[in-house]
Amino acid sequence: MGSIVGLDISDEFIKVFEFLPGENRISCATIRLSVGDTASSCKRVIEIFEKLKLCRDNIVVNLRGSYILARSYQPPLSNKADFEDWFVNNIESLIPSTPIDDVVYSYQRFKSGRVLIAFARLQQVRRQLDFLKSCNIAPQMIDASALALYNVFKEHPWTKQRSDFGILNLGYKRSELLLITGGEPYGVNEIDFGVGYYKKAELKNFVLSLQSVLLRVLSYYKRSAGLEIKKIIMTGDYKRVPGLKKNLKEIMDMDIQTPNPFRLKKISSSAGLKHNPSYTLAYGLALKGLDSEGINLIPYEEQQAQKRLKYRTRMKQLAKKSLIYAGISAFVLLAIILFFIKNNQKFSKLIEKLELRRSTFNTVINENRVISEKLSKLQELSRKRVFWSEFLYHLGSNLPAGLYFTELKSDFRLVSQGKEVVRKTTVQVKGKAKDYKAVLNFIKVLEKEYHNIVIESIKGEGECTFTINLEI
Amino acid sequence: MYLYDKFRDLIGHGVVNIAVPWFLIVILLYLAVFTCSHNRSLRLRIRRLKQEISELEKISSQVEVSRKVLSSPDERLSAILNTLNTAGKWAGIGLGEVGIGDELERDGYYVLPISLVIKGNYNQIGRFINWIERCDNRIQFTQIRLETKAGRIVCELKGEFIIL
Repeated sequence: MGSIVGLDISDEFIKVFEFLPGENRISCATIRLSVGDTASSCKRVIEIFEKLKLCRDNIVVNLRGSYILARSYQPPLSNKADFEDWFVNNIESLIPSTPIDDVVYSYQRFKSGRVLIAFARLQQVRRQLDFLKSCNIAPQMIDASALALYNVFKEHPWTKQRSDFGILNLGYKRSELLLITGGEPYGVNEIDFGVGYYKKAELKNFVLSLQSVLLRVLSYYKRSAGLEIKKIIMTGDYKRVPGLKKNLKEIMDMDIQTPNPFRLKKISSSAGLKHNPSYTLAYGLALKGLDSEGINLIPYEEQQAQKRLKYRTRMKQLAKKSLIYAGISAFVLLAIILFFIKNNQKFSKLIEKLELRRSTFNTVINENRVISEKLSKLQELSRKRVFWSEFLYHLGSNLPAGLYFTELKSDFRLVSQGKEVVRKTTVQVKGKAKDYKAVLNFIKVLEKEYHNIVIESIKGEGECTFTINLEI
Repeated sequence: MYLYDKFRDLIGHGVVNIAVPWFLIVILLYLAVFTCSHNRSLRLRIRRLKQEISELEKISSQVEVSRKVLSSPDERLSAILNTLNTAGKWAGIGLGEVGIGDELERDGYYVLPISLVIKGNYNQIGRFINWIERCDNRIQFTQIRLETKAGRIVCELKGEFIIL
C-alpha cells in the first residue's frame, strides 16, 4: 500500500500528515492560508506537496464549520436494509431546516447498533473541493469536522473501558469537542474559541473562557442526552498555552489527559516525530484513509466520478505494466521461436543429408539379404559334412598298443531316409596288430563312437592283419 | 483504427490495452510450443536416422567380410589354392597332386570337385585337414584315403568347393 495523507483544513491553516504504513516514514507540515487570497494559499499548498513529495492519490481531508453536523442516533431498526429505508424516509426530519437537495450526508453504523450521521451543506463541500482541485488535489474522502480524532484514540484505555469522555481539539480560532460514549463517537461540537485568543498576561481569563464554553456544551449534552462527561483528552494546539492543562484541571475538577497520539498507534520514535499534538487530527484523517471506511461527505456523483477516474487510472497503470511484461514476454517468445526455426532449418538439412546417406545403403541391404541366404545355406551344408580331422584324431588317440594302420579309405553312398536323401559315409580301416586282443580292444573303442562296425577279416597267427568297416 | 478506437471505447481502454497484447502473446506462445514440438520431432527423427545408418554401416562391413568369404567367380581357383597352400604350410607338409574339376550343379548350388594328394605323418595330415575345416567351410572333403608307402603316409583327399 502507498502512503496516505491527512489534511486537517481550518480557516487559517492546513495541517498535513503523511505516513507510509509499515515503513514508519512520516512527513508533516503546517501551511498557513491567506484569508481571502485563494491563489496564494493554493500556491503554498502546491509548494509544500512538491517539497515533501507528498502522495496525491490517497488524501483524506476534513470539513469544518457551522454547516457541519455529526451526531449519532439509535435508529428504531437494526436490520441494515430496514435502516436504510428508515433513513431515506426520515432524512428530512434529521436535517434541521435545510432542503435535502442542498445537503450532502453520510452515515456510519457501529457495532452497538447506533448510527453516526453527518451532514454538510453541498455548497460548502463544493467550495472546499474546488479549492483542493485548484491545488491539484482530489481527496479520496471528506470527513466531518473532528470525527477522525476517534481513529487516533480508539486504543486509548477510556475508549476500551467504554467510558463517557470528550476529546478536545484546540485550534487557533475554532476548536472541536468530540464526545465518546460507550466506546463510540456520539457527536462533534464546533466551539468558536481557540488558542488564538490567548495572550500571556491573560492565562486565567483564557482558562475561564474555555471553562465556560466547555461547561455550556457539556451541560447541553447532560440535559439533552444525559451524558455525564468527567474526563477530557486534550489535543491540538494546547501547547501554545503553557499551564493550560493544570489550570483547567483545577478549575473544572475533571480528569484531563494529554496522551501522545502517536504512541497509541505504535508509531516508533525512529519515525522522527516527537509528541506534537498539533497534528493529531491530520493523523486521524490519514488513519481513516487506511481503512477507507466511515463518513465520507464527497457528493455521490463526485464519488462515482472519482471511482471511474480511479478505475481508469488503475487500468492505465495496469495496462502500462502489462504492456511492459507483454513486451518482455513477446521478446523472449520471439527469441525462442527464432531459435527453434533456425534450429529446425539446420535439422531439416541434416535429415536430408542423412536420408541421402541412408539411400546409399539400399544396395547393401539387398546384397546383405542375398549373402545372408548364401551363408545360411553354407552353414547348413557345413553342419552335414564329415569332420575328418576329428575322426582321425579320435582314431589316433585311441589306438591300442601294438596296433597300427596300413590303409584307411572312405566311401559314401546316398540313402533315402523318409523323404530326404542322406549321405552315408563308410570307412575301411586296414592295419596290423601284435595279436587278436589288440584288435578286439580297438573294436571296443570304435563301438563307443561309431556304428555298423563290420570285421571284414582278421588273419594270421601271432601278428595278424585286419580289415574293419565302419559307418560315420 | 477507427473500428479499434470504437471497440476500445465500448469495452474500456484498460481491458483492450491489456487483452490485445496478451492475446498476441498467447499466439506467440502457441507458435513457440509448435516450433518447439516440431524441433523435438526432428531431433527424434535425426536420432533414428543416425541409429539406422550406424546399423547399416555395421551391415555394410559384415557384407564386406561376407563378400570375402564367398569370393567372386574370378577368384575361386586362387581362393582354393590359397587355402590349401596356407593349410600345407601350417601343417608342415607339401602339396602333391591337386585336381580341380568342372563346375557341377547340386541341389540349388554349384560345386567344384577337388582332389589332392598330400604326404606326411599322421599328425601333419590331421592338422592339414583340421585347418581347412576350421578356416574355410566352403571346402568340404567327402572321401579320404590313407596309405603307407615307403614309411610315409600318402593321403588322397576328394571333396568339393561350394559355390554360392
